[in-house]
Amino acid sequence: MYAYIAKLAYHLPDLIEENKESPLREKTGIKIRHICSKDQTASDLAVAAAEKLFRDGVQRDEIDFLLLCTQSPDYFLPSTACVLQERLRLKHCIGALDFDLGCSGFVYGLGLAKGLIESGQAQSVLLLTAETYSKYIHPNDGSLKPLFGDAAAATLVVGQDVSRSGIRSVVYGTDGGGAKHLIVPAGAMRQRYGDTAIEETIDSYGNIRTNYNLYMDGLEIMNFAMRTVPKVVEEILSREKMERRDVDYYVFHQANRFILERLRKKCGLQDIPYWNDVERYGNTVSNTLPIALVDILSMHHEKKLQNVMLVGFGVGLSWGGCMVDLSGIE
Amino acid sequence: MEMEQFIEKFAAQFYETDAAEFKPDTEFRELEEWGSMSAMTIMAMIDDEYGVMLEPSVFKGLETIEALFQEVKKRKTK
Repeated sequence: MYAYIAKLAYHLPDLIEENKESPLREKTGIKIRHICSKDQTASDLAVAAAEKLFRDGVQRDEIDFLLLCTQSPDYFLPSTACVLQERLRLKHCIGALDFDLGCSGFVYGLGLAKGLIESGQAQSVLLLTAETYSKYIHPNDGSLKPLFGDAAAATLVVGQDVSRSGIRSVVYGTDGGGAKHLIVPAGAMRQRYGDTAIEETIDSYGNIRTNYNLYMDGLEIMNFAMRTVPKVVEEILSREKMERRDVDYYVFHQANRFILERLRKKCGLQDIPYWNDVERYGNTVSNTLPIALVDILSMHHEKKLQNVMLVGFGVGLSWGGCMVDLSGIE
Repeated sequence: MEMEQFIEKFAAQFYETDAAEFKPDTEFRELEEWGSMSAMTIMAMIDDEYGVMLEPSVFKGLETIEALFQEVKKRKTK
């Protein structure tokens, strides 16, 4: 039994925020972002994405494992995945868990699903990614607000009785030394809400944030991506015994247009199919890869997508990559 | 690696600032046009044009175009 991605869907919240024309918008390529309402949480978006799969013919009873990738859980405990088991009316005899990752999360989710299926522990894994960074970003932080959008995606990974896996050469990486470069410092257990005073800072550009808001050192994150992603690409190509041109599509975490263009050049992928589309979403964290795959599949009916390289990288610092076979998806 | 050429490449990353404002002793963070993306653009230019990946912590300690030029030149000759 080998794991394959069988179906994908995504959901964007209704509220749209437009980025004003500015050098930042020009460089990042992000024109609009979808944002949750005050009462909506990531799990609500996840339910909406999953329901799209069910309306498209996936049977609730078929699911025997639920994975939720989010950094915006409904509660510290219980796992939001357990709550979703009930909301999605899935069977009781299933596994369900949250895992706390951002931009690398979709690749890790595929790796976990592959592990569960190919070890015989599950047959149909529902992998949900759902994120609402907008709730962590200070309303007067003009450096982060224009970058991030909210979204959720639902991916069905199933076991197939074939001779080769549809999720291969999964590469993982972690560098906790970079944790401080992309962080919400206060509110969880290290700096508890209630015990930790709110400290407001204003940076040299007039951006305001507190220790309870998202902080990102863009320079460090870009530097990290430029150092790390090319090595992941090389590693996957080496494991697959492939040349660059053998890959049907390269899909990296869709952070912003600027970094994607730089990575394309750094990895030597000019003139090779390479996805770069952030205009209507912004950086939706763990959702950028499944959203990209849905859009690529709908845009390229005719294209053979047997070898698609995915690379996610970001908060943690965490990174991951793999090769997926999408040729069986209708 | 020449200073003049470096200044030219530095200045090319800006659209609203007079060319005359870019001198060796220019404290680039004080330029009116310097914004939150500027540091990334300059780091990218240094990598693309000179093959040097400056650590952000090093970049943050450099204040003038001359200082930046010297740091890049130092690494380029290694």
